[in-house]
Formats: sequence, C-alpha cells, structure tokens
Amino acid sequence: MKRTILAIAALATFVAGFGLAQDYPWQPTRPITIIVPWAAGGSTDQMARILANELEGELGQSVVVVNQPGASGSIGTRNALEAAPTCYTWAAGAASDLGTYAVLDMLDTSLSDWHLFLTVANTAVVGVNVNTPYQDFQDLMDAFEASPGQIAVATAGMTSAGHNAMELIAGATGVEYRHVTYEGGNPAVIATVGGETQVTTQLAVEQAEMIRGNRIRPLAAVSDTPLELEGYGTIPPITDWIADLDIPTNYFGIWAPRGVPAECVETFEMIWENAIADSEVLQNYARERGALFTPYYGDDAEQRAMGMVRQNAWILYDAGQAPIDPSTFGIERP
Amino acid sequence: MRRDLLTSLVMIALGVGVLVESLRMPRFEHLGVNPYTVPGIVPGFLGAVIATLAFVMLVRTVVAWRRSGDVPVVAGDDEPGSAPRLLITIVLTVGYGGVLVGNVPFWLATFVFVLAFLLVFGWRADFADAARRAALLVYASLAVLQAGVVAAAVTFVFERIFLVTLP
Amino acid sequence: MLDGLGYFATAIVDLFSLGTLFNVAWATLLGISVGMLPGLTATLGLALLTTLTFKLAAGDAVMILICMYVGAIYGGSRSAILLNIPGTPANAATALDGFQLARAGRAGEAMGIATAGSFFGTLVGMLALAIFAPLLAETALGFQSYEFFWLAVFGVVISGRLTGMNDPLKGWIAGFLGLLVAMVGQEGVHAYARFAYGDPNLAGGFGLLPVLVGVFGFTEVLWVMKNPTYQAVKDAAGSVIPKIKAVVVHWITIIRSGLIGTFMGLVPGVGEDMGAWVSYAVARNTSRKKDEYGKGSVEGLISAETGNSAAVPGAIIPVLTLAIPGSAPAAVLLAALFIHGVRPGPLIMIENPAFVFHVTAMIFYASAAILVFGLLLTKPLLLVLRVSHIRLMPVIFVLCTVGAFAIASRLFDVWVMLGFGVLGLALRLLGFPMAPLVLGVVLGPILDVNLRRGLVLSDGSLMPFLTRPISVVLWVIILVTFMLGSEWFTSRLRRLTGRFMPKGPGDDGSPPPPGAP
Repeated sequence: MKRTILAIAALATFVAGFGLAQDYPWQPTRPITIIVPWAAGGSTDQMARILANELEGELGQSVVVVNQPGASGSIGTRNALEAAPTCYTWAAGAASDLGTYAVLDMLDTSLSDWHLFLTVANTAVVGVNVNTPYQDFQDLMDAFEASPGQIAVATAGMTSAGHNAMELIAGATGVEYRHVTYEGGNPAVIATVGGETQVTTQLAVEQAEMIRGNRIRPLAAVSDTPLELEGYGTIPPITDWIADLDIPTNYFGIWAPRGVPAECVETFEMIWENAIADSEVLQNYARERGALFTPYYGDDAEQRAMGMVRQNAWILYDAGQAPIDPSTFGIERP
Repeated sequence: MRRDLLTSLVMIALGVGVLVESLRMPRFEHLGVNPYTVPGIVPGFLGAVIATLAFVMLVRTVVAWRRSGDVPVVAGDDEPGSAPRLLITIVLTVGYGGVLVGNVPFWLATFVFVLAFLLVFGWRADFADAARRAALLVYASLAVLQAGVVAAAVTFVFERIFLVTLP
Repeated sequence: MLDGLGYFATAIVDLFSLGTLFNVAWATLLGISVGMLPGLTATLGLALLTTLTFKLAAGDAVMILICMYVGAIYGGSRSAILLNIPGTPANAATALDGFQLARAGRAGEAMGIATAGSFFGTLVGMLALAIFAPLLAETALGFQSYEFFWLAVFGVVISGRLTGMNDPLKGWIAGFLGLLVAMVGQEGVHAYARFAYGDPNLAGGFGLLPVLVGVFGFTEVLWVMKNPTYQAVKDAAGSVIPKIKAVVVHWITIIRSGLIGTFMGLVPGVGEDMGAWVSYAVARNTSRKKDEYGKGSVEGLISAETGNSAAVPGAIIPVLTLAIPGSAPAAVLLAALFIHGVRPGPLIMIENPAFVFHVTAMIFYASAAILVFGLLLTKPLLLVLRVSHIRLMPVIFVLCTVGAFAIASRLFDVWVMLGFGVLGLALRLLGFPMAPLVLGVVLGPILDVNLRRGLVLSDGSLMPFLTRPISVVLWVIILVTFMLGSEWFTSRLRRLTGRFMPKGPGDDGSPPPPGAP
C-alpha cells in the first residue's frame, strides 16, 4: 500500500511538475475542474482530456476532467453554471446543446451567459452499411422515395447531431425515414456496421474507424465543403446533391459562466491565442477523426456557434420536442 | 410468514402503481412519434411483471398458511439483533451522510462522525466507575486518534491522489 | 491461427524491461486498491489514469491502463470475501461463496483461490485474444436489439435464481425491482423524465454506484452493527498459497468459466458482471455438489472469479478489432487508445498487428502481477479481520460516503446511497437477496432501450424476439429457469415423471418448499 502511494505520488509530481506557468495574469493555486456532462470515452470526453493536458502545460496546474452524465448533459452543465464563479469550474460540450437547453426547458441559460472557448467542429456524415446497395447519395434518396418510412436511420437520439442532420435532409427533400435511436453516437454506428440499421447520420468522428475499415460506406458529408478523412480520402459534400442547403457548424469546446474574474478570462484568451491555436495534438486529433480545428473564443465564438443553436432550437420546437418558443430567448428562425 | 404476506401486498401495490403511472406517461401522439418508443412501455412491463410475481408470492403464502397452520420461519441467517443499536447506527450514519457532509468541511464532518461512533458504541458500563477513569481516558484518546487519522487520510487520498473535490 | 502464439511470445520478450516491470507493479497495485474500495470502480480508475498518463508514450500508457483494469476487477474480490461488500459490481457473485468461506475461518484460503481463479481466467481470455481475436469479435455483432433485451432479462432471472437459493421468487422480484430502479430519470429516447415529478436530481436518475455502495456497503454496516455477535469473519491464519491440488481439481470449471467469461466480455455493453454470473450459474448447474453453492463452495468462488476476470480480455478483443467496447471500463480504454493516437478498429490487424499482440502481452504481465501481489497481500489483508467492528465500520461508512460522492461530485448521490442502504436492510430482513437488484440496475437501461428499439425495428412485431436463433436460446433458458424455480411446477413434473428428477437448474435435490426453514 505504501509503495502504491509512493508510486502515485511520484507520478503526480511528474505530471504536475512539467511545464512552467507562463506569465499569465491569472495564476491558479489549486486544480481546475472541467465537467464533461457525458460519459467517459465519448467525443466530448476525448476532446476535454486532450485539452486539459494542453491547459496543464500552460497554467502549471492540474486540470481534472470529471464526468457528470445525465439528462442530455444538462445536469453537469447546471453544476458548472451554479458553481462559485472563481474560474476553477468549467463545462465542456457542444455549443448547440448549451444554447438549446433553455428551449427544452432543461436549464435556463443561453450562450451569452458563458465565456466560450471552442476547439473543434464536427461534421455529420451520411454512412451506410457496406452490404447495402446504395453506392452514392442519390441511390439512397431514391430508396427513401421508393419505400417511405421503411429505411432505418440510426442516430444518438432526439437532440443528437445525427438526428439534426437527418431532419435537415428530410426537411429539404421531404423523404420519410424510420428513426432508430441509440445511447450514443458509437452504438448507432456499430448498429449500422452490424446491419441492424442501414443508414447512420452520426458524426464523422464516430464513423472514422469504420469508414477506414471498409465497414461503412460514406455517401456524403453534411457540409458545404468536401471532408478529408485521413486514411480514407475525400467524402463529397451533400450540397453536390441538395444544392442550397444551409448547414451550420457544430462547435465543441469548454466554457465558464460569466461573472468569473476578468484576469482569468484574459488568461484563457491568451492561451487560446498563443497555445491552443498552434496545438499540434489538437490539430492531429481533428485530422485523424475527421473534425475541423476551430480555436475560436469570445464574441467571435458566440456568433459562430449561434447558427447551429438557431437551427437546432427551431427543429426541436417545430418537431414539438422543445416546449418553449425559441424566440422567447431571442433565438430567431434561421 | 406474516411478513411475506405483507411484503407481497406491498409489492403488488407497487407493481400496479407503476403500471398505472406508466399508462399516464406521455405518448407524444401530437408529435407523431413512433408508438413503440413511448416512455411508458418498459416501466409498464416491469410493473406488470413485479405485480404478477408478487401475486404468486401472495398465493403461495396463503396456501402454505392454510395447508400447514404452523408458522414457518423466514429464511435468512439473521439473529434477532438489537433494534436500539440499529437505530443508533442509522441516526449516526444518516446524520453524517445526510446532514454533516455538504454543510461542514469534509474532514471535520468525518472526524466528528468517527469519534461519535467510537464513543457511542465503545462505551462500556464500567467507564462510569471513577476507578476506571484511566481506561476511559485511554479509550477516548485512541478514539480521537483514529478519528483524526481517518479524516486526514481519506481527505488526503481522495483530494490529492484521486483528485476528487470533496464536499 | 497458431502464428498468434508466436507473435505473442515475441511480444512478451519485447516488452520485458525494468521500466515495464515498474509500471506493471504500481499500476496493478493501484488497480487492486481501487477495486477494493467500494465505490471506486475500474471505470473511474481508468478515467483517472487516462488523464494522468497523458504525457507518457502510447505503449507505456496503455500498459498502465490495462494493469489498472485487470487489477481493479480482481481487487473487488478482496472486500467481497472479507467484508461481504463487493468492491465493484462484477464481484457480487464472488461474495456469495467467498464471504461464507471467510466466515468459516477460511478467508486466507478463499483469497488465494480467488487469486488463482482471476489469474487463470485472465490467461484463458488472453489466449482467446491471441488466437481468435478477429474471429471472435465478429460474433459479437450477431447480438442485436432483440438479443440484448433477452440478455437483460436472462441476467436478472439467472442471478435471482442463484442468490435466492431457498426462494428464487424473492430473487426474481429483487431483480425486477432493480430493473425498475433503473427506470427512474430521463429515458434514452425522448428524454422524458420518468418518476421524477419535476425534481432535477431524480430526472438524472439513480446512479449505479451509489445504489451499489448503498445496498452492499451501507446495508452491511447496518447489518453488522445490528447484530453485535455477528462476527463478520472468523480470524484464522490458514494457508494463503492455495494448495495446487485444490485448484487443479477444478480445471474443467476454470476452462469453462474462462470461456464463458471471455464471451460475455465480447458482447458489447454486458461485461464483467454477467461474465461472473453466467459462469457461476453454469458451474452450479453442472456441479455434483450443488447444495454447497452459496454456503462456501470453492468451485463457486473459482467460477465467479474466473468468469469476471476472463471478461476483461474478452472485452478488450472488440475494442481492438472493431473499436466496440464490451464493457464500461473498456469504453474508457477505447477512448484512451484514440487519445494516444492508436487507431483500433477493423484495420488494426492490417495496419498494426504487432499492437494487438503487445496488448496481449500486457495482459499477461498484469495477470502475473495479480498472482504475485494477490498472494503477497493476503496476509496483511487478513489483519483487517482482527480489527473490531466498532473500529472498522465507521471507516467503511466514510469510504461508502466518499465513494458515492466521488463518481459525479453530487451530494444527491450520497442521499441515494443512504436511502438504498436502509431499503437494502429492509429487503434483506425480509429475505430478498441484494445481488439481483444491483444487476437489475446495471441491466435496466439495456432492457429499456433495446425492447423499444426492437419494437421500432420490427414495426411492433414480436416475432423477431421469439424466432431469431440466439433469442430462442435465451428465452428458452429463461422459461426453463422460471419453471424449475417454481415448486408448483416441479412437484407436478415429479409426479408426472415419477421416477427421476428434472435435469436442469432445479436439479439440486429439489428446492426446499417455499418459506420452509
């Protein structure tokens, strides 16, 4: 037991002792917590752990990732919102979720209540099981037309990026599909690999390995630019088939509630400017997982993230999922 | 056996209650959601299974009672035990976990709890005897020592090594 | 196929170095400690170490994580045997016979046997990983929503039958109560908060760990304090090194439990708990000494510990070859691999085959470490038994409180732990077993989403649930278990057949009449 403790102590010193804090206006004196309001191992969790490590190097202080899953991420986010505004508690997640908790009546907050620090943006991909006959996106659309409501589409649930993407396609083309929900993006992708569903519209980051392993055939990236996936090649944009589709970007990052000390915000802005914008690790992560590297912060970040919030909020409201009219919160119809 | 009878009745009530609550859960018809995904299906199913199993238990108990007339002992390895000790334990533990933790610093709450626990349960009748005051003192100081060590060690291990922010 | 073994041997030599041994030693020890403390689980330990090992080279980090995983699943057996408090949910079956052995003054022997079981279980799973990795992983994909639904029902029915020895009915009720407990809070399809009545905490649901720590840890504390004469475990030195013969005679059980555990590990989302329960069930049903089960059966203890440990390599197989985690800790391991730039998935056997065999070798080092530490640590751990209850119980309760809180830093979880502890005591006094309840809480979400998803996929038809091959096997076993657990049915069966006893789960010299002493 004693040896264990020694070993951990040695490790802890090693981990905490690297990298000297630079001259930032805010010097944390105890460990900083990032709440990931989802289970360990998911895409938010992976991003947060990589980011935590980058921040440790800059701040010279441990940055601890805590998983507080539940209620679509609103529980952990609430805890960050209600924590003492000392800058020691942050939340991670997707900005579009953060912006839509209010219309879902889950948590009364909006993007402007937070200081946003974004890292990556994820793109949804229309992927099909390789044993299905659909060779390109048009084949799939024809099949949807031929048997409305019969083709099963796997997503991570009602508010997920996958469902958003499929709703966007359905809204633009009028196709009907059978919505099958899973506990997360990875289970949805696995179900498509196993043949339980034919199609998934989850994020590229969740499909990357299966696409590279030739288990899923990517038909289109739900974006207006082609998606480069390392080890696979180029996935054509969906706008090749549906020309005037307005596709907002799904940003991920960390945030602290407004009211935290100004020196702290300034410090993080400096870190984003100097270190995160050049972070090799984050850039590699994005490239490998089919994500965009988006180190934005401040008002710029809020404006960028708002596009997805608008779309998400109105899709949810129109589908009756969200009980509160988004315009109550100043979220205009896109 | 009377306990089994009562238990089965409670479980039937629970199962039926859950079933009724499940039927009252929203079905989102106005949203046109797939009717097989409504939230009430699975708890309703479970409520029905529990009510059925509890009903079997009820029938079994009544049949066994009428058939034999004697009262079989409830299975289990429990000695009768002591209700006062149980009550005191519940008061101490719930007082610690439910009241102290979260309202006073964790190390202090833990110190107070462990000390109180040791003093209450370690009390021996002969401590009241003046001649045994030395034994009492020794016991009390050991208790203080243990409470201090536990409070310090748990706080250190969890906050510093497992990096858990304690309440 | 046997090439795998050659690569595996090479990998063992490749990895051998002082640095490796040092990492294996401390990570496994830390894993055992995490496993022993109720409330700290393999999942938490892995998540924590993922952050701490971030700066290390990928190989070292993965080695440390695997040692943590193997160590934690093994470590949980310690508190299960000594205190009747399973350190992780996977060790609930271990407590059934392990604690009884300890009460009979054979704690040292029980820990030695559990160690041997874990060691051999890991070895069987590891060999399966080396030989069949890609092949086995594919079979896991055969499990779809219909099968997962049955698997969840299967779990509580089996566990209810096994722990409610005298009275399977109460075991089943406990199991379904557990499934019901898992229903509280937001469900996974419409995010509707069931049974929450507007309370945000209830909407988040009852966490598995607070419930586990409550019904095992807190209930045990109350139980011990209530019965002043109830000596948790008799102190006896005994032999710590298991007699080779005592282990060898169970070689069939070890191999069978190892294979069952590996397979349960493979099936996504099911994991170590089911590995232990299913191999325990099979061992009991094929045993010649069924009546010893639950009363201190060495065979039962071996089957449970072999089963849960074999599930670890089992769960790692699909992580590597399909990027599908077989259990919750494996999901964290998968994330860690991604973070370290290792890309598990269907391509790994082509892109990076050496890595698969390195992982196998790492499991080998981890299992060797649990064997060494397991036997070395047994003597000092026995000291726990010499401490009086009054001194030990408050410490355990403090650990229960911290353990419940540590997972999500929510005070609500501490209240859940308290509530379920008192509820657990009430149920235990009424003769209900706790293990099926906890397994029900584990399996509840699986049952919930898969039943509804299956209905969506089949468009409301029950046929796929009843006719798909794996489903048929599962529901037939469930039905038979139910029937043989019922006195009404078995007595009629006996009258019908007249001469012989039914072969199957009820074949233990007939379950005693319900409620009989």
